[in-house]
Amino acid sequence: MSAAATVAAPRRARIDLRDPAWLLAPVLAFFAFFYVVPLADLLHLSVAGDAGLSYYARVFEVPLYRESLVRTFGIAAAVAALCALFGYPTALLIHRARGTWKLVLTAAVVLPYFISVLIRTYSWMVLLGRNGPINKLLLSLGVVDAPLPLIFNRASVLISIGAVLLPLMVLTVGGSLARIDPLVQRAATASGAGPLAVFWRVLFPQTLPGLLAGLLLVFISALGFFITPSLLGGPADQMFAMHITQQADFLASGGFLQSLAAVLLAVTLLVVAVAARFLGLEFIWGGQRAGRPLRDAAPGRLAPWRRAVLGRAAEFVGWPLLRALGAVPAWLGALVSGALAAVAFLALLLPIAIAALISFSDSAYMRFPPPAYSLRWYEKFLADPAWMASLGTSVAVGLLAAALSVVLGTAAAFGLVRSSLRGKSAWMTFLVSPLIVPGVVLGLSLYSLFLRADLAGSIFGLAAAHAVGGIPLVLVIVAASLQAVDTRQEQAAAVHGASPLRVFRFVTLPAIRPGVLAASFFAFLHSFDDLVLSMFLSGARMTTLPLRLWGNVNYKLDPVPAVVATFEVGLIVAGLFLARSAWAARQRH
Amino acid sequence: MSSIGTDIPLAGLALRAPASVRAASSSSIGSRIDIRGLSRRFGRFTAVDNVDLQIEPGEFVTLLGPSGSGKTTLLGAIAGFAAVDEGDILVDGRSVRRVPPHKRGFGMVFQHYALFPHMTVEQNVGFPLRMAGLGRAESARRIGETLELLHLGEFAQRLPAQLSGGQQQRVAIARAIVRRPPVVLMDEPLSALDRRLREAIQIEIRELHRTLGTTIVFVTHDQGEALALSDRIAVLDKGRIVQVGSPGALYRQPGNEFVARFVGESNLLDARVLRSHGDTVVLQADGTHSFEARHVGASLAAGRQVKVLVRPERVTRVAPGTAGALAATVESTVFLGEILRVDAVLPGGARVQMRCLDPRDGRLPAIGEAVHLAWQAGDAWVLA
Repeated sequence: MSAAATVAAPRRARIDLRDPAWLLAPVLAFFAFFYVVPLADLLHLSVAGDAGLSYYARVFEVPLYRESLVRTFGIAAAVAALCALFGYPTALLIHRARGTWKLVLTAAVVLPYFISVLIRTYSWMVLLGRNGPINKLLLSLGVVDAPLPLIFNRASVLISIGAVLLPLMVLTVGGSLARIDPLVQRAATASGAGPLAVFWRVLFPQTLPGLLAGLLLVFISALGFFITPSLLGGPADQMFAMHITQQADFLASGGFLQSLAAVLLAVTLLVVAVAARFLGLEFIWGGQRAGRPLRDAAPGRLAPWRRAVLGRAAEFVGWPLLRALGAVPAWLGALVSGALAAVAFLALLLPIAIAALISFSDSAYMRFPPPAYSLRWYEKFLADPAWMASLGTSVAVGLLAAALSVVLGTAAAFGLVRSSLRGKSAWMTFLVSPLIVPGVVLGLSLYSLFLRADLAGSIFGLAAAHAVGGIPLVLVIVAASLQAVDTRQEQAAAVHGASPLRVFRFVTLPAIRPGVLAASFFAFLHSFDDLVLSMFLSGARMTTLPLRLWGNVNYKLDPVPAVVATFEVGLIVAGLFLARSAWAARQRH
Repeated sequence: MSSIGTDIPLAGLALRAPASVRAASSSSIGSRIDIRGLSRRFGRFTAVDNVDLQIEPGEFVTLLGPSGSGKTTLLGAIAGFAAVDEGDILVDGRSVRRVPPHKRGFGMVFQHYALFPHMTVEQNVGFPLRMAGLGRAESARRIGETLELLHLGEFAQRLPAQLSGGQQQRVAIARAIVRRPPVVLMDEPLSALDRRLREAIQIEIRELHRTLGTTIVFVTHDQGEALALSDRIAVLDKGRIVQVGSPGALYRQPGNEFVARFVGESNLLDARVLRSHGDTVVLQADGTHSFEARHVGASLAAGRQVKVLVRPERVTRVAPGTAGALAATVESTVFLGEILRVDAVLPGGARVQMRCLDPRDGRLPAIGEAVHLAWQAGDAWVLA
C-alpha cells in the first residue's frame, strides 16, 4: 500500500509531456507580459494616486466626452445597420453564384478586407473629395453647379466606416449560409412555400445567428474606430477613441487618458457580454455554438399571454401576408437584393480602382481624372530614402511579428486542440480576446510598459505588440485546420513505426500546412497594416510605412499613398492566388 | 386504428390549397401522372432521354437505376425543380410545365431528410399546412394525427438534431404526407439508414401507401428495396427507361441483359439456338448437353447466339446421369446463413452460381468437387 503510494506520487507530480497542454505555456507567458499586465497597469493608472474615481467622473461629467460616447454608439449602430442592409444581400448573391463567378465575387470582398484601413480611408477621401471623381461626374453631367461637400460630414463617416467593415459582415453571414443544407430550401418549396416564404421562414432564421454575429462584430469594431472619422469626419463627428489619440503627450494628462481607455474597453466588453448570452462567445472567432440553433420562437420561454398574442398575430397577419407575398415573383426579390449587392460591390471596389488610377497620374498634385499617365509617383516612392526606410521597417516588423505569431499561435492551437485540458472554450476566449480590445486601448496600455522596459522604438517591441493581435488570428485558423485533420491517419503512422515527432513531420504538418501558410500571411498583414499601435509605440526614432502614410495624408493629399495602395493590392492578390492554389491542391486529395 | 385515408375531410384543404393541380376525387386521392417524351440535357450530357411513363392514380412506382442513370433528374422534373428541355408532364390530364414546384401541391421526402433545423418536429410537419393556409386548430389536429400515424407523438417538441436517423426520416415522411397530397415523391429516402431500420421503414411506407391511397414515385438504386415496395418498377439506364413492369415480371422475364444483371442475382450463359417451337427454345451452351428455355416474342432462328438467364436459386444439384444435367466443378462455397451459395465452372469456362437452402446435414460441397447441376425448362429465360 505505502510502496504503491511512493511509486505513484512522483509520477503524478511530474508534468505529462505527452499531453500537449504545456504548449500553451509560451503563449500564456507572452500574453502575461504584453497583454494582461499592461491592461492591469492601465486600469491601475486610471485610479492611481489620490485620483480615485475622479478621472471617471470627469469622463461622464464633461459634455465633450459624454456626448462623444453617445455619438460613438450611434455611429457604430448606424454602421452595423448599413453593413447588414448591404452585406446580407451580398453574401446571398455570393452563396448562390457558381464556379468562377463565385470566386471572383468572393475575391472582391476578401481583397478590400486585407487592405489597410488607412489606405482604404485615403481612397474614400479621394473619391468623395471636392475635386474627386464623384463631384467631377456630377459637374460634367450638369447635375450641380458647384462641387458638393461630400466629405467631412456624418454621411461620409458612416459610408466609409461601413465600407471598411462591410467585408466582416459579408464573410460572417456567408459562413452561416454555407452551413445550410441546400436541400432544405427545396424541401420548403416542395411543401408549398413561395420564394419569399422560403427566404423568410427557412433561410433567414438559419442565418440569424450569423447576421447577429456580423452586426456585433461590426458594432464592436466601429466603437474603437479613429482613423476613418479623423480623416473623413467634421468637428461634429468626434468619436470616442479619437480623444485618446489626439493628446500630444500621453503622459501629461496623468491617469485621465487611461480612464478614457478603460471606459472604451468596459463598454466594448459589456456589448460582448450581452451578445455572448445569445450567441455564445464563439461568435468572436467565427464559430457557432454547437447543437443549439436559435429557435425562431422559443415557446417554452414566453409568457402564455404573449404566446397567445404572438400566435394570433402570426395567424391573422404574418402567415396570410407571407402567403399573399408568395405571389411576388422570384425575380423581383432577386432584383432588389441584386441592386443592394451591386451597391456593396461598388463601395468595396470603386475606391481601390480610383486609387490605382490615381497612382499612375502624371500630375504634380491631386487631380481627377489624371491629365496624363506616368510612373512618376512610383519613381518618387521608390527613389525616396525616407519612404524606402519606412517600408523596410514595416517589412522587418511584419516578418518578425508573423514569425512570433505563427510559432506561439500554432503551439497554442496544438495545446488547445490536442490536450485533455478542461474549459477549452474559456482558454480559447481568453486567447482570442485581443481581437475585440480596441487598438487604442491596447496601444495606450503598452505605452507605459514600453517606456519602462525601454522597448519604445525597437523593432522587436513593435513586432511583439503586433503579435498580440496576430496570435489570435493564427490560433483560430490553425486550430480549425488541426480539427479537420483525421487523427486516424496519425494513428496509422504511429502503428507503422513513426515516432511522435515523425508523425507530426509526415502526417500532421502536411495536413495543416495551408492553414499555417494562410495564418502567416494574415499575421504579416495584421502587422504591416497597423497604424494604431505604431502611433503609440514607435517612439521618435522609428517610422513605419503606415505612420509615414498617416503623416502624408494628414499633411497633403498626393498620389503617393495610392502607389502604396496599388502595391498592397498586388501583394494581396498574389497572396490570395497562392492560397487558392494551396487550397485547390488540397481539394484534389 | 381506423383507416386514416377516409375519415379526413379533403375538400376543405383542396379548396384552400393555392392552385392545387388536381381535382379531388371521392374514391382515391392519388393523381395520374403522365410523362411524355421528356428530355433533359446538361451541355452535351443527356440526363433524361425521351422518357415516356404513365403512372396510374394511387400507384407505387419506383424509378430504379444505377447512379447517373437519370432517375433523380426525372424525379426532379416531376417535382418541378429540374427544367425540362423537351416533352411534358401531365398531372390528371393537365400540363404542369409552367407550374412552379411550390404550387404543384406534392409531398416530397429527400435523401438526407432536409428537415428545417431551426423548427421543432411539430413546426416541420406543420409547415406545408401553414403554406396552404390552414387554420391553427385544424393544423394542430392534422399534425397530431400525422405524428401519431408515424409514432412520433412524443417527439413533437424536439428539434431535428435531437432525433435519431430513423426518427428524422419519419418526420420527413410526416412532413411529406401531412397535406394528404395526391402525389408523394421520395428520393432515395432510406439510403442513410442501416439495414434493419431500412426494412422497418419500408414496411411503414407500404402501410402508409395502402392507407392514404396517394400516388408514390420512389427513387432508389437498391433493387431489393424496389422489389419489396413497388406496384411497378421503371428501370433506367443512361437516361432511358429500359423496362417497366411489376417486380415479378422484371425478375422472371427481364427484357435485356442490363435488367437481368441489375435486378436480382443472375447466371447469364452464352448459348446457341438448336431449334425453337412456340415459346420453347432448345439451346446448347459451350460443352453442355442441350437444354430447354422459354422465350416470348419473335421466334429465334437455329444457329443464333443468345444469352440465357437462370436465377441461382433455380439451379439444383442432381445425381450424376440425370437427363439434361450439366457437369461442373465447384470453385467456391459461401455460407450466408439460411442460404448456401456455390460457384461452379462448366467445362467451357462459363461460371454458374447456385443458391440453395443450407443443407440439413451441414455438408458443404468441397472446392474442386465434381457436381451435376440442372434446372427446370421453365426456369431458363432467353434474352433476345
